[in-house]
Amino acid sequence: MDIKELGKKLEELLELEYPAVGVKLAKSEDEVPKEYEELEEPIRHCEMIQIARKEGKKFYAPLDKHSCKGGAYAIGILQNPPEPLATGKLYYKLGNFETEEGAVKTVEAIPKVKEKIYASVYAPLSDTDFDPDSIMVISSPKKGLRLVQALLYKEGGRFQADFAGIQSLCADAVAAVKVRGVANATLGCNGSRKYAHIDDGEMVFAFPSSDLENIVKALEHFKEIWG
Amino acid sequence: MIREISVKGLRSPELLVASVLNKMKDGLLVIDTDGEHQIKPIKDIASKMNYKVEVENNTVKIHVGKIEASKSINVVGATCPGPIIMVSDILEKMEVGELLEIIASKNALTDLTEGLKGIGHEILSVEELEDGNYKILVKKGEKKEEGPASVNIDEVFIINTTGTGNAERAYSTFMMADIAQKMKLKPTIFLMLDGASLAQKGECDKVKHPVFPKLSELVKGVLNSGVKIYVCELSAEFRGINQKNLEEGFEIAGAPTFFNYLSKPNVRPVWL
Repeated sequence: MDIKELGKKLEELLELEYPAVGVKLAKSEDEVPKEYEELEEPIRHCEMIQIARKEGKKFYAPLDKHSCKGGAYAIGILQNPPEPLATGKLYYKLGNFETEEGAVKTVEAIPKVKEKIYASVYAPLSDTDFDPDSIMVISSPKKGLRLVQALLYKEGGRFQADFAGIQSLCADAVAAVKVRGVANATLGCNGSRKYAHIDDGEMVFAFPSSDLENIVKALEHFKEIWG
Repeated sequence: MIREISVKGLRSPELLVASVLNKMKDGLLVIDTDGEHQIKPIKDIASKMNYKVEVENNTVKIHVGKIEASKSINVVGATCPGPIIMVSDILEKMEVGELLEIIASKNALTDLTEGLKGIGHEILSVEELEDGNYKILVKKGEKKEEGPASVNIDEVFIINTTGTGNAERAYSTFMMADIAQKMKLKPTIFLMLDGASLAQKGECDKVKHPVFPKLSELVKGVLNSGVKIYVCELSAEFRGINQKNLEEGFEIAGAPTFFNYLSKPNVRPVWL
């Protein structure tokens, strides 16, 4: 089964209102599917996810189309960020932390893609033309529960999510998944809630494409036994 | 494949490490940690899964399986500064992040590992081969750029150029290393030019001042406390010193090691 079919199955089995989104971090122009168009106006990475998810668009965004420096830095598109962002002092100024040390410590621990990325590429999973570095499902916690059960169905273990309330759809949901090669979940951040309009009742799950087939098989099994 | 992850700030880092290891079929997992409280559970889980683990400062390296290098070079037989020049020429043409496999003799080992680290490359593994040579796996890094930030001086690089010909300077070399340690400064000794004479087996045993212990006793003391004593490869060769008549605990190194220490911002040189 190809990735588009698996994407459709995932959508049906989880009864998602909007499709899952595939994100690829392209190291060069050659890695961007030819028919994909460059985004016209700069916006945030988290907003790009929502365009692919809610409007079904397929597109890519190089550095000059990323208006959120934190997001672009986390996914390797921006290599030389302003000092307050790189050190974390920015988040102290924004009021996220009581001390500057707390902000610095948090930013040091945030997953980050170190290699230089040319552009981020987005598409609804059920219509994607590339192998995504991260597949993102934005859903209710209840649907997330089923997704986590599906992730653990084959080999067992525990699902561990880590996030810090900043750089969520970029660092937690793309960088962490690409760098580690395993799934993560996040509750979003101020930016993704405010600008990308992640609803109050939604949270974000992300996993590598290597997990997709097993997830779909497990969801089919759960459908059979639990309805 | 090399996977580099950070587990900083995680309460159960071993859970993440186990998940990542479960999906890796070969290669190396490099884990940046907060320190010992995270390193122990990671080491435990990796050992339970029968993987070889190395720890360097706060970084844990877990060897999952074979790592394919994109290029390789054999520098066995080349003497200082040949190996570092040959290796640098190859690395210059490689992309950042690419892997180079180096086969080198013991004489070039320190120069290559210290020298390459000093210019921003990452030493992923060092393995002794059956024939006594070494296989070094290097990941090409970005060139180091030092910022204007202030740095604490916490190491001294004691360079002796006079050897047994000047007993007072010879005693001072090892006494200063001892004092530096007591002052929480990490000492490293480098013997070059006539200083290399101290590296010949038995030479320090012949030096005895009436009011001081034998020089060889001071040498033993600093070696036992973990101080590295390097001998310049060319100076040693000039004086007929080789692996066979080299004093135990001394290591042959060359210009790359020497310049690497001199270029570290946290190191002060002491010339004797």
